[in-house]
Amino acid sequence: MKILICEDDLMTLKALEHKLKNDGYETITVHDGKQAIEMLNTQKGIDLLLTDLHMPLISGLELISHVRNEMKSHMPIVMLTRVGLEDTVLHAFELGADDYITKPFSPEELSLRIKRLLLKSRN
Amino acid sequence: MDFVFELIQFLVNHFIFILTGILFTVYVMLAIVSAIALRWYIRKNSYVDYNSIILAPLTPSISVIAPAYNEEKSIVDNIRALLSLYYNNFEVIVVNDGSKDGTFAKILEAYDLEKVNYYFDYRIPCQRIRGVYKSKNRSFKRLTVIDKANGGKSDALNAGINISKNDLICSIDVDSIMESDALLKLVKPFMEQTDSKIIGTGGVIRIANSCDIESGQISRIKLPDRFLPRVQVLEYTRAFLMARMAWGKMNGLLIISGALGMFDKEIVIKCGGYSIETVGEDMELVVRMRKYMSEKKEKYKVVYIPDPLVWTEVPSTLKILGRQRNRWTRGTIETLVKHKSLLFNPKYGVLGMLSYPFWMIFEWLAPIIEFIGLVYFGLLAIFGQPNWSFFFLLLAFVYTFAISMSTWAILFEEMTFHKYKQKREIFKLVLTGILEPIFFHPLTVYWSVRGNIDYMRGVRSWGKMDREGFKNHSKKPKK
Amino acid sequence: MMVLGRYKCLFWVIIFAIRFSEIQAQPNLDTVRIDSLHQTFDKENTAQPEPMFGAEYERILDKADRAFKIGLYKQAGKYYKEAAKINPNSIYIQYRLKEIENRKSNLRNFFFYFDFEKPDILIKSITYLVIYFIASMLLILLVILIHRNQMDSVEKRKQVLREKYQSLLVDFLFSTDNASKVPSDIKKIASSLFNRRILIDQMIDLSINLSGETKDKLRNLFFALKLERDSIRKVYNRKWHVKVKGFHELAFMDIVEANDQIIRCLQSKNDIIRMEAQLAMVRLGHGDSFGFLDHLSKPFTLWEQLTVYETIMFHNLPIPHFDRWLYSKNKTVVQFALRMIEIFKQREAYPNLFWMLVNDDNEIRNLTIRTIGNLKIKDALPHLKRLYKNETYQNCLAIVQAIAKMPDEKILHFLTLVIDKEEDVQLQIEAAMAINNMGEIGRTALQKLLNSDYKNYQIIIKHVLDKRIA
Repeated sequence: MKILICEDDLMTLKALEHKLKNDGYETITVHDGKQAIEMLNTQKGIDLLLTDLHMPLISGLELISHVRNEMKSHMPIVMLTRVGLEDTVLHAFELGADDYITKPFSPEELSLRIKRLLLKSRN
Repeated sequence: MDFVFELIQFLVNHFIFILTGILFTVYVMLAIVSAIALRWYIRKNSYVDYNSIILAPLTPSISVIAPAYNEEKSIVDNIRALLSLYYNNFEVIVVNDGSKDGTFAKILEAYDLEKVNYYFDYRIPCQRIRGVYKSKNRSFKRLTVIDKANGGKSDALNAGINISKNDLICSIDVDSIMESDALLKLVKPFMEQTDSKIIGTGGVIRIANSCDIESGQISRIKLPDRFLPRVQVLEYTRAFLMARMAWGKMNGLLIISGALGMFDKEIVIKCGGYSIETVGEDMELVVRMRKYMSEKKEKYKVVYIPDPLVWTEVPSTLKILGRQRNRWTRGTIETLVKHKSLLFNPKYGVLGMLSYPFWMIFEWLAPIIEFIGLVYFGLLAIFGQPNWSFFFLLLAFVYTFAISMSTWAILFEEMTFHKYKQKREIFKLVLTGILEPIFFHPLTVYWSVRGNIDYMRGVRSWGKMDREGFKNHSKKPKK
Repeated sequence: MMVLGRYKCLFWVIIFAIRFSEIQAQPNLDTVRIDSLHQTFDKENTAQPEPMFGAEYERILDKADRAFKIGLYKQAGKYYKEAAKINPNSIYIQYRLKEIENRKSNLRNFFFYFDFEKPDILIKSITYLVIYFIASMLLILLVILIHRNQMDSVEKRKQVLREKYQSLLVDFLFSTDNASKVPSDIKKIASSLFNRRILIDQMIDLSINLSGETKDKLRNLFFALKLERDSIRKVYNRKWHVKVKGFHELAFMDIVEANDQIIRCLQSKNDIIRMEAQLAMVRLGHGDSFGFLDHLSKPFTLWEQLTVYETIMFHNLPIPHFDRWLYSKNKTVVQFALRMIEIFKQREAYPNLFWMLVNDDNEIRNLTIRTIGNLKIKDALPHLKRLYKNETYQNCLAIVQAIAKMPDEKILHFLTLVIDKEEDVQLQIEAAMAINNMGEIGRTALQKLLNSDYKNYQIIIKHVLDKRIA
């Protein structure tokens, strides 16, 4: 299973990549929304998108909208966000995200949620 | 009595020298105060986690207002950059000020806009609104676009203020590039206010000529290649890091640059919004807001943030630069004349006793006096017997003072935000500083005098300001 | 302002000093002495009594002496020669002229070569200043270059180390083997101060973003490497910004040491330190950690409030009942309490909130109204209605907005009155929006208004009904 991780904070990105690799997934990492869209266009077989909401250039919200509307894809989308941004989270759900996890996050919890979502999407 | 008479005679004979002496002393003092204030600011922000301001419930809401006129080259990218600013509760209001080119059409298409039934409340009078537009795409929820008849930058800003529902307004030049955490840094002083109400904050303008730009963001900072923009780098550094910082600390700041400024919306409205009668609307608003607060006898502050927050393209040809400086001079005069009641008026505190006189003497009069001095010396040289030795000594004095101040400015920049990383760039700057008093400074004096003349003649317009447009580099995707 | 004043005085003193040296003043003691000097000089050196040469001669000699005294040698020479025309035998004059010649040939006195016709002291000071400017410029350039070199190399080093440590840390944290011992390479890093600092920064960065098991692992590593000593040392540093950084590090790693220092900082004169110390106390959660709010006399800024809120959230602290502070004398504390009540949905505080609705301060009432609206306390509706007519414009707006959040048909009539009676467009729009939130009854009422031609109703309703407007 391939996961696209989109996060502008390098440390977090590394941590996410490592954790998911340990769990046995194939990971693609990008720093911002623009690179993410490029990856989505060029790479095949991405099963899940994990993205931060606040990024320079193209925001996470735009990315979600792109996946759902332009690409018409049903891949599960998990958002990463800082605690307290309730309305942005709601907005993201409106746009089609499936789940969200707040920073500071527990990598174990994230792993479980991703597993669950991937299972659901396969069925 | 005889002594007094001779003193007066002495003063008149040496007026120019005295003024220059005072000017230089004041510059040095401002630089010292600026250095202290800079050090304090940098220390204070060394441990701040700006991310924590992102937390929604307590932060003030901001309306970013960007007037746009004939910006079709880069408007789509610029708006996108604004939309992805790092802040939580803010909206972006773009005001199309009756552009004659494809600006509005481009925005309409790129952001999927449709007209909404907006009830436009003309709280501050402005030109007729043709329509208010929102995006059909929910991810652009933050964006509102106003289409209106042409009225100038002030008018467009006022229109934006009219539909803002938030606590603070942030006025910005749409073709300037904002750092993504600019809103965070600008809003922090508002959140730190105690007894004195913060009515406005402003930041440093940096020069974007020759920088690499990608999709509306600066990807690599470079010193401008051409002489004119490079000279302006020095000018801006001196003005921002060595003078305005001090004024901010003394709460005597008279101007927040139009390229980026954040204000308390209610107070702006109470003051009547931006003035459309002047070409220096940014300075005029700040002065008027300060006057208003002084008259209401409320303690207030205008805060200055030395962080580079916005990058803008400065004129690189003499013609356009001349127009800009002409406009600045006229704007200064218009503001000074309009608010002449401030001069040495203790009711207005630092504003009236320090800032206004300083501005009048050193920003307005100084170039004129310098010009008169040069003419006087010219006449003396032709008809009389000037003391050449003394003249050259004084010239050396003024010249070395100027270049040493420029070098100090480079040092300030190096010690604080050091955006120019290469040694080669530092040498270039020093060289520019050496050439500036010879090749550039006389031009500024000339333009200032022209500005005065034009003001007397009644010229009130902006003049055509062509922009080159930023160089756009597209990066290949990382494999 | 004080700084300017002092220097201005100094400058004027200098100006006066220069002036004094140039003044064509009344003959003072010195010149009198010189007068008598040249007379006695001549008396001593000639046998004959000094003939009187008239006032003109005395005057020229006077000028010459004065010019000589302040260093205007060329001018002095000119005057002496003039005087010599009147009195060619004066030995005094010859003596003086000889001295001037000497000084002329004295190469060190470069000022003589250029006749500046200005006081010696002025010329000297200007020249020294010019030299000083050039020298300082060269020095600054040197400093800049050295600094840049140093910064560049340090930054390079830091970048390399940062990436290395990031990988090491992430490897360690997510390693599948259950080894709880610290890898030796990480141990080695912790031995050098420079490296340690970077390591600590990376670990703090990680700790901000992670929670759960991984964070515990991180924390244990922090302690195993004894890095808390660095943070504690920061807290004892004299520089305030280092102290604050220390407080923050202790907080991120949940360290409870250094209490005595924190308590001492609570009394600090520095506002920032005091606030940070208070926050540290909040984090430690000892007993009544919010107790400082009871005694706070200084304004509690929005920034500080936000930091306290963030601390509560980040450390999962027990949340007190904030209505305790609604009666504080400190306005900012009251505002903080109101905001917290809203955020943490402490509806049980509403009896106290009602009292706040009649508080003297406009802003407090405003915040109370907003809180009531956001908490959807319907019991307050009749009170809000009653208060409306005496309230300020801002608060009227807030009342209508609050009503909009908890729509109730009973208030429909009031809202239609607002639309009808109020001149201000904003109020009308908010009232219409509130009606819009009322479901079927609201929509019917709005339709009725839409169909009427009265005033500006149509534009308002159209605006309100347009879902695209946020």
